[in-house]
Amino acid sequence: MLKEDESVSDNLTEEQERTLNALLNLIIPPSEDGKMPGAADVGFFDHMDSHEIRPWIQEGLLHVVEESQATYGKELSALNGAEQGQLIDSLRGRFRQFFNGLTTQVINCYYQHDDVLEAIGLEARPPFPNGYPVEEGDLALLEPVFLRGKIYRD
Amino acid sequence: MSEKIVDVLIIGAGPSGAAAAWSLSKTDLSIICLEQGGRMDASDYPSTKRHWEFLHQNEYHASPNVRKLPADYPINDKDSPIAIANFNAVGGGTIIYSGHFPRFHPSDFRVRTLDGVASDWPVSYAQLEPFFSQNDKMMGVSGLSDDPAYPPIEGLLPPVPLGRMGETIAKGFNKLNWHWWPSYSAIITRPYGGREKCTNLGPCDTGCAQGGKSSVDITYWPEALRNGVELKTRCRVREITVNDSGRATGVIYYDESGSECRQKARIVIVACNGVGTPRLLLNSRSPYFPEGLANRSGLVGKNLMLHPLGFVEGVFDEPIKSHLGPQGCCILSQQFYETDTSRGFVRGYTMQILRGPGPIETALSGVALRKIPWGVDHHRAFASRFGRTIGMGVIVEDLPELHNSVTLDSSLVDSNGIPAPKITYRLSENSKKMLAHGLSRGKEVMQAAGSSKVLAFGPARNTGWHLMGTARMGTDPKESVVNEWGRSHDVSNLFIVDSSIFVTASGVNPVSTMQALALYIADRLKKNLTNLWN
Repeated sequence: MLKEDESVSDNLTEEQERTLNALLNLIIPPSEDGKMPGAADVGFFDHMDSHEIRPWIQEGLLHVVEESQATYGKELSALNGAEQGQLIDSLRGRFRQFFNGLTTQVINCYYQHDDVLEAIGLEARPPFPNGYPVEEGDLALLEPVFLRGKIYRD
Repeated sequence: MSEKIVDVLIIGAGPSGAAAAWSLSKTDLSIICLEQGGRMDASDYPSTKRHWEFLHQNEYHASPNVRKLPADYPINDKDSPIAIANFNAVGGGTIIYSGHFPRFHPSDFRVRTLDGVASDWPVSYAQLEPFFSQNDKMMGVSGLSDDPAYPPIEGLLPPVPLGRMGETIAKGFNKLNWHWWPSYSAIITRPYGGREKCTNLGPCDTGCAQGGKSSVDITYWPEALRNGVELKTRCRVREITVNDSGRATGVIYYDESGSECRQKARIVIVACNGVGTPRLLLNSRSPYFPEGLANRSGLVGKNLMLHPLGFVEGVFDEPIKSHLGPQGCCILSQQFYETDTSRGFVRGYTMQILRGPGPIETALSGVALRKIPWGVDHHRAFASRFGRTIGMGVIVEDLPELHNSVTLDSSLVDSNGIPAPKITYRLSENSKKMLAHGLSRGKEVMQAAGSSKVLAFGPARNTGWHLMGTARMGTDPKESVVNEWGRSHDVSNLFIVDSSIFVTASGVNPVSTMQALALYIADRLKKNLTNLWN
């Protein structure tokens, strides 16, 4: 249960922002070789505003903040990696809809960011107008299929 | 209110309505088409935008229940393992179909004679063949002739590129000595009819900004409009009206402002798909047709067929650039298409090879399947799948069954207050056996192609694209809704040209056959015009 003085407001509190950033990097952390950014570094806050998803994310964050304080007396961003993992594991089952929704939004934001697309070998552009080259392929592979002959019924 | 009486009123501007409109436009008939959706703007399609994958999950989702656009009507499909997919616009489902365009086979029209199930069609492949060819010419279709799974098909443009992915899976089929062939694709691989060729944008199922995919808004409609057909958009038909003689007199519809309008017509042609057509007929009740228009057989809405779709995915160790190319078109296999009773079921299925998804869908599906985790291992798991997966749709032929149906929902209505359709659907034992067989064979070919990890499941939920059988054709008025050329047994100036008139479903995507049938019906209608006015 949320405390009476906790509610969804227009803006995230600083603690909620720190908690969300910590969550983002728990979902997709920077890669160990430094080639891939973490999800906290791809403009998720702007994504959240442009898609008008702040209210339910903020509501979910309230639970995370509350549980972190209740369990460890500290906010999520101040916990060590093991503590963060344990806390979130315990919450994911209870708040499945929030965490599933957040994961979807994080992936939507992350995999359309220029840095990410370029890191995975794509050009950071829409498909149109340039399209993409695709190898024609070897139609000689059809030879045995053709040689086996007709397989349809009249 | 329009007092003008048109010769022909077509309801629905999708693939069958467009084909019929074009064919009839070559006469002196006055023709109006009413379409509940609007005209699409190709420059606004998702592939012109950076966040094209996000739009695929929302405004361009296959389900009208997710899109909830003004042109959409809700569909209660909770009592079906397969959710209904459609698109409401000029072009209909062809706006967001993948363009996979195989024809029905000769045997598909003779299922009772050959396999002792369901009913034979009142038309044959041979009768439709000229209209298949005419349709291919109008649409622009690529592929390769001399396919051992089909009678000769001529005039195809060169096939869509196989890519490294297509070659990989083709070698798997060859190892097993199984049939495969480049897909028949409503995608032009050379400039054609004033359109530029496909440039492999990828997401054909969100509309083609290039115009390389053959959707009917850029194939049939421009010519039909030039020939004088009037196309009125954002007009949703509520009911077809009848006179004291039981003949159709026109329709009542709502225009974009929500105003109730009437359009009188001498001939009414319904082209609203296998869900929209029975919905409209069931909503068109009158003292003459208390159970719905043209429903004296009681078969309107019955025998719904949806093509239960199995999905197989193979993951490959080496990069195969599978995320590139027309998403739904690569190769197909009909090794298990024709009946072999030793398999434990009758009829058969197509294996349709699908390109791999873009990065967002790769990650989302990987997370959903628990293949891509949160945390430090996310990047390795993503890299092991992106551009390295091959998909397969197993298109199962479901047979007509009375209990699979479209009815009117008792409470759900659209934005005009018109009762919405309700879907009731169960897989038969024959379909379940066929699906299991297809999933198993799909895994086998993925492994033969070198896949290190394979998964298979079905029926996949959001795949109810192929809406068939709910106003079927036949020569016996007690056993069918329309006759052998799409004319209602009960209402002599009412025709249906969409896939609701299919007698059986076959095991291939239906659009090519639906359009050939629409052209055939329009041709018969033109040859019988003098009889129709009586």
